[in-house]
Amino acid sequence: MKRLARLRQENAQQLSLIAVVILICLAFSALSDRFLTYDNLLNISLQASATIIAAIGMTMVIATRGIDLSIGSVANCSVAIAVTLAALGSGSSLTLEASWLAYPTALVLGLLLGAFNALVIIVFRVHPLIVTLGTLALYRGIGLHVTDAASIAVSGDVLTLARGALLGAGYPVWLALAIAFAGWFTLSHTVFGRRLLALGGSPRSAVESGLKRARILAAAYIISSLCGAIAGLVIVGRVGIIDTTLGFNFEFTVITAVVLGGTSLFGGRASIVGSVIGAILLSAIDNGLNLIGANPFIYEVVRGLVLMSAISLDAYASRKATDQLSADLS
Amino acid sequence: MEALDRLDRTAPDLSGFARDEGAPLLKVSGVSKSFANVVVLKNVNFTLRSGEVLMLVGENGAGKSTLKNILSGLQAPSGGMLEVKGHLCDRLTPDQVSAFGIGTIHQELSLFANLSVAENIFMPNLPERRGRVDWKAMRAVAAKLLRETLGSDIDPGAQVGSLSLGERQLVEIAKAVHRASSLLILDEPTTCLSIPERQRLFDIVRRLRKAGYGIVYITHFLEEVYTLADHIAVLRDGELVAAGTPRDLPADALMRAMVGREIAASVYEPAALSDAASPILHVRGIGDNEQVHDITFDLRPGEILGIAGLMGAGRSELAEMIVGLRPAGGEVTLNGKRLERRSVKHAAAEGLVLVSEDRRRDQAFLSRPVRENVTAPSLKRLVGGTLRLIQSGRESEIAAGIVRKYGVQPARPEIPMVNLSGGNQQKAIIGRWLAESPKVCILDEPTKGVDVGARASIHELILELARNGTSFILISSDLPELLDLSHRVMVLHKGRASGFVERTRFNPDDIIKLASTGKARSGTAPAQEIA
Repeated sequence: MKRLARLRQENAQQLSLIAVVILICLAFSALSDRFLTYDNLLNISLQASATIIAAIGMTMVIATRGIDLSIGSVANCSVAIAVTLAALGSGSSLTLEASWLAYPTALVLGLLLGAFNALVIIVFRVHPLIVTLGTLALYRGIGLHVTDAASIAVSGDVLTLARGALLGAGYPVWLALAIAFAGWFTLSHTVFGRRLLALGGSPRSAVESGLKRARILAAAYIISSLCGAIAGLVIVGRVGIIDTTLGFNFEFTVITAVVLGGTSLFGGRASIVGSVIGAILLSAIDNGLNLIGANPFIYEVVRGLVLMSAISLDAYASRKATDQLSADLS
Repeated sequence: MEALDRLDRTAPDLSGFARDEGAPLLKVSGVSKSFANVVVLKNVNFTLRSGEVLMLVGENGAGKSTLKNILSGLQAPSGGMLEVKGHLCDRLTPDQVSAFGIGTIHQELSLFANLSVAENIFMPNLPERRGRVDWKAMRAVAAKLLRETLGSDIDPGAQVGSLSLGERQLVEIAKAVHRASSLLILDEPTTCLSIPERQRLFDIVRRLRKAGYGIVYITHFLEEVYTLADHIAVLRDGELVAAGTPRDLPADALMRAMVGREIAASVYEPAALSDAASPILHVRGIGDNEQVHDITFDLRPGEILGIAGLMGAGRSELAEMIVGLRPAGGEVTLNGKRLERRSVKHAAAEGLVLVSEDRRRDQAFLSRPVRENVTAPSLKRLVGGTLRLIQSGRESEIAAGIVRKYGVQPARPEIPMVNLSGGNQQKAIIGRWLAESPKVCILDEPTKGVDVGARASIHELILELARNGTSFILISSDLPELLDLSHRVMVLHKGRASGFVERTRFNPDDIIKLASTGKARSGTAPAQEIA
């Protein structure tokens, strides 16, 4: 009985999120008859996949009470460098044909950039918000430097990832689902995942229990950057262009998706499923606004409002929880 | 008793440490610790053998918790040596603590409210099978440990955040017992336990002792000391002032050692209250129906009302409700005037102030001079001129007055607050509020963490002000302090007033009984659960 109540409480948030998704889909399908078509739904899932991938890493970081603002810059920087390095000596500097080597290169770069974030956070004990705010600018700057801030048309094997399809759905959708599954499994069923949640839940108890804070944090930030690099590969594969908008404001979308999904900014409570639904919700909103021909500036207003309401709800829920806790403990 | 029978598990690899076979389980030699320039432990020495219970007693601020932190690898001593099972080291790391099998029950529970009971018990080493957490095995072991060792049927799958405080304490105990294979450290483990749960804990301690564990048990409850001790060590102001067997250290000697003076006959006596004086403060039915329920009392001018209770009984919450820091129903009438829509500012304007428990964190501006700290509430009265600027001359004058009157040492208002000792910071903050000449002052743990000298001068201050008509509500976990100073003690139990005891009928046992069971002393101990 107790257990049933617990399950219900945990799922309530996700169920209400799914309800919101359905409501928004119904609203858009009433406004545009192209919204609720098979092709458009596939399109939404394709659009959501980069956000989902990055949101998995972000979920882990946020679960430790951290944040990774550099995710969009990691996507930009790692992909820009990887494509440049894997270019098959082609003609003009504004078109590059990149081989499959861009994939492993981008992953290695993602790992390095994440390791640098982790290093500063752990060794110098700087708040992750500040560290990744710095690397947001730093990594973006490196990316711009590599591409000379130009728009580079990309071709070659590096696009395969985003352009193939399997059983009707694009590769990125399958990749996003695979990464989401791996993320869910890690957080719910591996010792590492449970330690990560423990650290986020109570840093003091973590120290007293002998948890290795540095290792857990390093892993979380590296995973986040790896996810960022993969998301960057997906984005570049879909648009075929590397330019300054690649990964720009991406952290905003990703963090909104994660917080919408019920992962608490105050640590210790994380939901991969929620992050996936959150990312889909954001894509559906973007897609729907596009279909009904809304003013592009409205997008930002809507996203801003969505983030504000998600964060307010999180803060409210956390305060309720801590009130209860301090009521019990004081 | 799986968890209790793991003495013979594989020896940790500790090559690289000097090792002496047949050495005591734990030897602490000349250990000291200071933070910045404050000395919290001075040259502490003791030895603990397998199968012994060492009771470590001392008042608040005596250094018990620091010693616990050093023994559980959370802090490095500033000096001295530790020797565990013959391995000599100058500090313990968390890895060594776990390799040596040292388990600690922390007073402020080291639990993860967001995880299940079973995960809490095993963290950080959850059992693994094929790359994933072996939930089934983990829950089974946890259930067995909880049931057989602690006699509790807590669901190992339940989230710790959903448990009551008493249940959480049991989980903390289970966690420490699970980790410990040679040495168990208990830091005030009974504060949230009901009487049957306490008995169960004592049984566990006895069983572990029999199984060859060494036990360091930190407490300030005397009855626990004599129930379990093989050896007793008394800490006072960071020094080991007395040690011996229970026979060497009977209760009165122990108290003397703890407090540093005779305790039997109180050296203090609050001034007699005139029966004619009508109450200045009426508190009627204050409560939020969660942590505090329906508290009613009156306070006469010059009266000192003590509030006793266990941790979590709602003492600080009650104080916060009276001044309006925390929402609550009920009525507060001060000097015949009902305080509507209570707030701290409003209450202070009417002459009701609260000096809260965690003064250092909540109320001190550590990097600012003492002057600014003591004049903070009076700034309104210090401004002058057309620009309404602070008149610094008058401010310095008033600050110097407060510093002198309340005996803040060193008596130099311009040095930063952080350079004062804890006790003097305390005096400065108390002085700040008392300088407002309140009619009623609520003091929450006024002498927590201060040395004996500062404690005595704070006590004298309270009595003197009370003689001059200021009324006090004194919240303290330090029972001798309450009994010394109060005219009357209200005992809280689970947020309700379980009794009022007049000074003529003061008796520590009665008050402890009221606080822990909610019932006055009678023949049988009621089996009351503290939820």
